[in-house]
Amino acid sequence: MERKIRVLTAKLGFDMHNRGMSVVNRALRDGGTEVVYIGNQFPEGIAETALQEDVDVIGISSLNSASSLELMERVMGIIKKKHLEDKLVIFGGIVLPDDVPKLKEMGVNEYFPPGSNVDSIVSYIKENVPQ
Amino acid sequence: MDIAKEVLNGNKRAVSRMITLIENKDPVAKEIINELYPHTGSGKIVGITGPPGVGKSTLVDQMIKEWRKRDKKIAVVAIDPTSPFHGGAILGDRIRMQDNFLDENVFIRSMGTRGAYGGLSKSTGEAVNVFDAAGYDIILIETVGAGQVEVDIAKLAHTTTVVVVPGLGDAIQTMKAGMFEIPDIIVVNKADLTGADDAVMELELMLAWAPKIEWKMSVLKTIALENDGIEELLDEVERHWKYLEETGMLYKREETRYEEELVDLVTENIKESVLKEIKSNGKLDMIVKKIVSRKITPYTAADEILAGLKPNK
Amino acid sequence: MEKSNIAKGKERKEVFTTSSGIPIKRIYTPEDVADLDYNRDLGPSGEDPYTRGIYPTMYRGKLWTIRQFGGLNAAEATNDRYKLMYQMGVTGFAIAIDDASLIGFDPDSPEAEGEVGVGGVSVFSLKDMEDMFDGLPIDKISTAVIQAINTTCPHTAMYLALAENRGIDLRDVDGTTEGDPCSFGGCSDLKANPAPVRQLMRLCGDLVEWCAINAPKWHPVSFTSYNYREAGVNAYQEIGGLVASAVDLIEEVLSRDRGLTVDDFVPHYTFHLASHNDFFEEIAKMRAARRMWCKIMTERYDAKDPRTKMLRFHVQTSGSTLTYQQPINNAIRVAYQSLAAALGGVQSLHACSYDEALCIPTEEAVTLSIRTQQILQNESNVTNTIDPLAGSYYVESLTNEVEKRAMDFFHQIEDHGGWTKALELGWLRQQTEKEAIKYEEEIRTGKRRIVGVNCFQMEEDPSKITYFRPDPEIYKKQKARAEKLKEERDNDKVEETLNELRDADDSGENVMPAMMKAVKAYATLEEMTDVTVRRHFASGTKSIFSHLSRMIE
Repeated sequence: MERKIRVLTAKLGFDMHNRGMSVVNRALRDGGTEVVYIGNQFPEGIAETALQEDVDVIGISSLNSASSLELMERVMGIIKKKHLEDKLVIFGGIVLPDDVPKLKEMGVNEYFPPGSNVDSIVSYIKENVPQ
Repeated sequence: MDIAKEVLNGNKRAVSRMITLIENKDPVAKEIINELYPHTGSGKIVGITGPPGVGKSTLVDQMIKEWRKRDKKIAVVAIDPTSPFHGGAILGDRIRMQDNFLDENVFIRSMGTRGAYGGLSKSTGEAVNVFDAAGYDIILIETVGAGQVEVDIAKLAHTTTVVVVPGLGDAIQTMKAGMFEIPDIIVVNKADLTGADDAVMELELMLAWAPKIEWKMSVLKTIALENDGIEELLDEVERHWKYLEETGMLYKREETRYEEELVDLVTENIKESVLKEIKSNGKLDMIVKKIVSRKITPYTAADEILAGLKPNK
Repeated sequence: MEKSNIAKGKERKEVFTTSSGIPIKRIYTPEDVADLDYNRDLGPSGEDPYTRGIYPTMYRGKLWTIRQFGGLNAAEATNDRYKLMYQMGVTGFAIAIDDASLIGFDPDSPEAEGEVGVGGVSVFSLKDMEDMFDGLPIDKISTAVIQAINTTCPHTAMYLALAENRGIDLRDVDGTTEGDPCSFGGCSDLKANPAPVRQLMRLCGDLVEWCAINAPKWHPVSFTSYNYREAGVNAYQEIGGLVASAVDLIEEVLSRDRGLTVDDFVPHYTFHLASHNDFFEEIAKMRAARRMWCKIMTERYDAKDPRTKMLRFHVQTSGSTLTYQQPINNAIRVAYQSLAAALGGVQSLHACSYDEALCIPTEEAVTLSIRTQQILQNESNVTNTIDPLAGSYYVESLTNEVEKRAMDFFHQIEDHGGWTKALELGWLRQQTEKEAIKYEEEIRTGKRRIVGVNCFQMEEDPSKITYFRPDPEIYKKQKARAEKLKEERDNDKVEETLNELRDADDSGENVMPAMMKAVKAYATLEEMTDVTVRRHFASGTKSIFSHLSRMIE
C-alpha cells in the first residue's frame, strides 16, 4: 500500500483573492499530498470533482464574509446529497467570528482564519484525514 | 459496494474509488482488475503529449466537447508531475477543463506521476482499463508534458497526438529529439501565432524523412481556444482508428502495449520479492558492506543473490 | 568612521532589510548620496523629473482628495452611505461594485445567485447609477468607477450617461475609470487564454481614445499596481510592473495609428498604488515611481507635454496587511500607511477601515478612516512643506535603490515581450506567487513579525467590534429589480442599440458611442458584456469559470 492523501482545493464562487490559496496549495504539495486545484467553482462543481477525483479532503477558500456562509451551506448540502460525507471539509478565509460555530454546525470540520500558519493546515489534514 | 460490479454498471463513485485503490497499490485492486479485464478492449485510447505551454489541457477540453457532440462517453486521465522531493503534487490540468465538469458522460481524473518518468504514472494503464470496463468510449490521456520525450504514451495509446506551437523552434526540436516514433498525428496548436505555416511546412518536410509506414502521418493546425480545427483533428483520429482496424494494426498495438505491461509487471514482482528477501534478513546490508570494502564486486554479488533465489517465489 | 561604528555594538539581527528585501545599513551618511545631483535627480516639485511631487505647490495649494472606496447592498443603501460621507467632508468617491456585476452578470442571471451585493454594490444598469448618486452633486465631486476585467466600458458609460442626463457637459465631469485590463491579470495567469485579454486591452484603448476627445477631464484608465501588490509582488516590482503595464497600453493606442501622440492621451492616465507597512520604503517607492515615469516618457516617447511626464496617483492603504486578529490594531496600520502616502506626495487617498479583514466596513469604521485622513491633513502639519524627507541620506539612497530595482524588473518584463505577453506566458504570475510564498514563509518562521498574528497574540481580544452584514434579501430584491427593469424599458430600443454595439465591436470601430446609446436605453450590464466580452471567450465556452480561471489561475 502506498497511500497518498488527495486534497481538492477551490475558490468559492467569484471571489478572486487567490493569494492565500496558492500559498496553501504549495504548502500541501510540499507536505506530500496530491492537490487537485480547480480554481473558482460553484458548489456543484466542487462536489462533482470531489467525487471523480476521490479526494480525502475538500479545502475551500473565500475572502468574502458576505457570501461564504451561504455558499458553504450549498456546498455542504450537495456533499450530503452525493453521499460524500466521509470527506474532511476545511474552510480557509473570512467568516465572521460569530459565524464560525454555524460553519461547524453545517458540517465543516475545521476553519482556518486569515493569518493561520500553513503548517497547521497541513498537519491538521494529516492528523484528521479519514482512514 | 461490489466495486467490480458497480464499475461495470458505470457507477462513477466505484470508478473513482477503484482508481484510488490502483494508485495506492491496494492488494484488493488486483482481484478487481482480474474481474474487469474480460470486459475491456472496446474503448479507444488517445494520447495527447507535447512540451509545456502548448495548450494541451485546452485542446483536451475542446476535444471532449466535440466528441460529446458525436455522442461519445469520454474519460480523461490528466497527469502532472509528482515532486521528487516531497512526494506531493499540484494537479492543475482540470482547471482548464471546467466546461465539462458537470456533464454526466464525462469523467476527468487527475494523477500524479508518483515516481514514474516517461510522462505517465504507473497506474495510468490500469486506470484506462477501469474506464474502458465502465463503458467509456474514448479515454483521453494528457501526459505530463515536462519537456522530455515522453515515449510511454505511444505504447499505451491507440492514437498519439503530439502537440507543438509555432515559433521558438519547438516543433523542430521536438522532432529532432527522436519523436518520429511517437506520434500518429501532429498538431500545431495556437496556429494564429505567426510562424504557424512555417512550422507546418518544416514538420512536413521532416516527415518525408520519417521511416516509411503505411499510415501517412499528417500535420494539422488548431487554435484550441477558438475551437478551430478540432473537428478536423477528431476526424483524423477516427480515421486513424479505422486504419488500425482495417490493417490489423490495432491488434499489433495491443500486443505491444500488453507485452510492455507484462514485462513491467514481472519485473516489478521479481524486484519486490527479491528485495523483500534480501532486505528482511540483513543480507543486503552485509553484501553492500562487502562491496564497499572491496571484498567482492557488485557483479559477483548480484549473480550470487540471483543464484540463491528459489524458483516460484 | 562608519566602519568602526559597524564593528562596535551587537545588533538584534544579522541583517536588516526593507519589506521587499533591500539590505539596510546601520546608518546612512553623505557618502551614500555622493552621486546625487539635485537638479538632475530631484529638482523642485512641479518640474522634471518630478521626484518631489508633480505640482509646484502640492498640499499648500490643494490637499489630496479624500477618496473613499465604498459600496454595499444595492444603489439605495450605497446612496445613504455616500451622502453620509459627503457630509463628513468627502469629495472623492470610488464605487465598490459587487462580484456579480464585476464579472458582468445581472442579478437575475443564474450565475449570480449568492454573489449579488457581495463585496460591494450591485450595479447592472443606468437605473442603479441614477439611484446611487441621487442628491449628490456629481459636478462637484469626483468619482472613480472601480470595476474590473469585463465592465470597463459599460460601467463608465453609465456614470457619464447619468451626468449627461442631468445636463452636465461631459467636458466638466471629473473622475476616473480604474479599468486597467492588465491589473487583475497581474494577480493572474492568462497564459491559457490570450483572446479575452487582447479584447480587454482593445476596449480599454477605446475608452482612452473616446475620452481624450469627449470627456477630457475624465481619467479613462488608472493603472492599478495595487491589485498585484496585494497578490504578492514587492514594492519595487510593483512600480516596475506599473510602468510596464502603462507602456503596453501606450503601445496599443499608438499601434492604431489614428493620429494620436502620447501627449494627446497619456496626460489622462492615472495610477493606483498601494501603501504597505514598510514606511520609508513606501515613500521611496512613490518618489522613485515619479522619477522613473518621467524618464521613460522623456527618453522613450519624447513627450513634450509636462502632464504626460507626471505620474498622478491614488493610493489605497494595503488591505492585505490588515489582520483578522485584534482588528482595532488595523486603524494604526492604516494611519501609518496613510502618513507614508502623504509624505510620498499622493493625489488622492483611500484609507482602509479597521474591519476590512472581516467584512464590508461599517459606518463607524468608515468614519474613522475619513477622520484619520482629516487629522493627517489638518492637525499633523505634514502638509506645510513639500517632500519633507528629501535630502535624507537614507530616503534618497533608498529611493535610488528602489528605482534601480524597479527599472530592472521593468526590463525583465520587456525581455518577456512586454506586460501583456509576460502575463500570457504566466511569467508574472510566477513572480507574484514566488513573492507571496516568500512573504508567507517569513511570517511562518517569525522572520517577519505581524502583531497579533505571529507575535503578541491574545486568546481573547478585549476590543469588541461590530460587523457589517449585507441585507439577506439582497439577491431576491435585485433579481426582482432586474426583472422589472426588463419589463418596463423599451425593449425594441434596447435591441436596436445592442445591435449597433455589436456592429461597432465587429468592425473594430470605437465601441463607446454605441455603448452610451445602449446604456441610455437601459441595456443591462450582462447584455452589453455578452457583446463586448463573452462573445470573445474561447469558442463554445459555457462556463464563466473557464474564463475566470484563466484570469486568475
